[in-house]
Amino acid sequence: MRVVEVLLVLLGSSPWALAGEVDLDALMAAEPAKRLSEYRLFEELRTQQPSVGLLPYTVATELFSDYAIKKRYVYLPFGTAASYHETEVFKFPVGTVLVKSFGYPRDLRETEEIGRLIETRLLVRLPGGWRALTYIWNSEQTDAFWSLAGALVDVAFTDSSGVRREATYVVPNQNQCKSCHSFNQTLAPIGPKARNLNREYSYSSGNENQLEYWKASGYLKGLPELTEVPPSVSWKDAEASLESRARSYLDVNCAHCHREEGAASHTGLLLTYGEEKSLSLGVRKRPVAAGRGSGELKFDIVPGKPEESILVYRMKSTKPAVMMPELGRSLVHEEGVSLIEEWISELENRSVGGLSFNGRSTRTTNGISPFEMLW
Amino acid sequence: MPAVAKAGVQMRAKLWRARGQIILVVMGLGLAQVTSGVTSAIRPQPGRDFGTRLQEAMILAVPGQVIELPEGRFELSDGLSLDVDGVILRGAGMHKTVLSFQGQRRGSEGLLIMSDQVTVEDFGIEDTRGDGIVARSVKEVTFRRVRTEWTGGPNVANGSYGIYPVQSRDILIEDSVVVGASDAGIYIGQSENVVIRGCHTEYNVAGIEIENSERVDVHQNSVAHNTGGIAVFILPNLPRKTGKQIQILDNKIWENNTPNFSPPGNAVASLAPGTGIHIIAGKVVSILRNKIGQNNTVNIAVMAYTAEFEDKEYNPFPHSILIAGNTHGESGHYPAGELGRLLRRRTGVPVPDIIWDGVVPLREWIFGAEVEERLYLNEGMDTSFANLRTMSERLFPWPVAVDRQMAEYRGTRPLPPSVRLPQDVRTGKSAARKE
Repeated sequence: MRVVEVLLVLLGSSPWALAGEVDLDALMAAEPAKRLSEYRLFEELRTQQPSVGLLPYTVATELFSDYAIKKRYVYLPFGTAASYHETEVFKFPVGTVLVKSFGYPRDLRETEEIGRLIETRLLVRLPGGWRALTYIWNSEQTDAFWSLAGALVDVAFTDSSGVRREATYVVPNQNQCKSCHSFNQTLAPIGPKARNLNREYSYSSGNENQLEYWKASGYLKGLPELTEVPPSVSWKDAEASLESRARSYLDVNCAHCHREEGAASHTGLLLTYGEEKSLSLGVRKRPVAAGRGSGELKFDIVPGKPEESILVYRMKSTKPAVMMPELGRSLVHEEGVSLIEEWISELENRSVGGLSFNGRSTRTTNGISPFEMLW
Repeated sequence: MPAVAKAGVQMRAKLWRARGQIILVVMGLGLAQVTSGVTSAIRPQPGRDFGTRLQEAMILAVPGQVIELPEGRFELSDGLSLDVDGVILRGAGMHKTVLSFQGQRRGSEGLLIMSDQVTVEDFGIEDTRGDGIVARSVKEVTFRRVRTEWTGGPNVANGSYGIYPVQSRDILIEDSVVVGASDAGIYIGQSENVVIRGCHTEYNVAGIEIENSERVDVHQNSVAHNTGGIAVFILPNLPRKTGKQIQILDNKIWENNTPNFSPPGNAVASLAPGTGIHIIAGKVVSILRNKIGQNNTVNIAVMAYTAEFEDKEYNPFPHSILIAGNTHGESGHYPAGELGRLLRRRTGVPVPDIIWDGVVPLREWIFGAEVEERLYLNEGMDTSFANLRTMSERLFPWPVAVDRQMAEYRGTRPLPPSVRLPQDVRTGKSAARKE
């Protein structure tokens, strides 16, 4: 792609000026397009063949969305780049579009292709901030249509253990985007962070580390040497430690809200990958506003006892006001629950702490009661 | 442009009543924006899929717009959310416009408010799976004549909170009704500058609960038939570490004897049935001129947070609690719950009107209380009191009787100023009586 860029620049035009280029004006318009096709993000909608400039990417650990297959893309206007950040979402320039399509193939054992497209969500970086939009696909799969109110879509598929599943997939309404995509009460992306992106992708030009590819394509500036970038941990990676896998899972599935800048900051339960205080992580922490969600249990995490841990109770629920996450799933992620149960079982007699990428961790502290206080 | 901007600022005061061509003010920036055309009220039509139409209206509303809900009873299966500043969501009356969430399948609350300067008034919300109305990280939100009710009465399966502002400021809750919450009817969490007035809270576990909040005036409310009437707690391990300046004035806190139906494990599960007002670790709490009575355990209990905690910045002791001019009806005849058992043992039955556990830091137990931390009692001569002398009881091997003398607690301190809300300043309403 770089060679093509150079050639076209020499020829007096840029790859973004070709037919089939992304329509940035449509994306930046005051009124969103009614149909996804109007943005020209894809050369071919049904196969999700991206237009020039729309770069596919993957993340190490995905948010569980009822086992839907998710395909992610990023577009930046020509000549602009995102700024690298070590721990948070990169700073993206105006005109950036993050694209995420959700779909179900018939049989998850047979393919990782997206199958039947359900929705495509966009996060568009306007001058005043981010805008979240979702487009729901028609059954002919020829186009997707802007949805304000969301929708319920019945889906059926065979899961990766061969079990036939049925679910009511929920397309969120426009307000609900901000329920999770909220950083200090401002709409913001969640996924494109160094620790999620620092992995290889199979580009048409060969396998390459995504961050380095972004840098070489002019999408990312400020990238340090890869050795200085936080490593990526996939929750499924059998070679990685249980601790790092579980923390990666919690980071991606919970910490969009359960962090100081997120929608659940008032609970004091903080689950980002870098969180170091075991109490904030939930160890022997009493619930704050869980109500019935506590399942009559006393602590968010009881080391060694997943069955007494509110965290696991809520992950296993599908009832409103009990289930966690609150939005974004209707099924239980059984594999994720197993991982967290295993992690909590092994927590007994072990200190729990943050795993910043150089592997430091901290011990739990001891409590004090008012009868022991001098003043 | 400056002239238009100035006109815009003046027009802002009349914004809620303006019809026809109005100048919209972009909140927080002070700029003025002229709209061509009419910004009249949105009126979602009743009928099938009312919930979807209402949610769309709440997404499409422009700042300052009125959304008028029709009279009628509407069944909703999804929680609602509002993220537009200045919107007024108005029904035809708390019993006339009813949003029933009995069939709720998605969403953790009935209505989630995420934007500022919102007013919700004149409608009822029933039987939400979780909380009734939540306002999270917002400013200047008004709840007026709204009702959140769990229609089956007290039940552990009911949602936790009826009206729940959290991490917010400048909140007004007036003339509203909450019934049946399994935690607190009106719950103020980690917020500041709040007024609760003229409300009825009944058959909740805690009628009104103030937690880790600052500058909250609770006045002229009727708090009856809850497990406990009013709770003021400061708890550890929360992002907002402390709270202070809570005023509980001119309320009627009566017959709060409902069994505790909260799910175990929550802070409020420890609230004893028959509690009028319960203070845990509160700071600068003023309890004046209330009518408190027919509470089977105790009318007023002032206590420290006595569980173990790890939060280094947390202070578990109540400071500067002023209790004056209250009328105490008969109470304490049937103490219940863990607190009731403790009181039965220490004070006997009937339990005195006012209880202080006497838990203080060791320095204070030896040398006496600092002025700014002490208890102030100015009640009538026939009010009964007991200091449980918990420190002495723990430290001495011999039995320690409670101390029923009130004389040493006589005294007063200045009252904090009444809470002034931007909403009230605009409409010229008066604040809580101070004297």
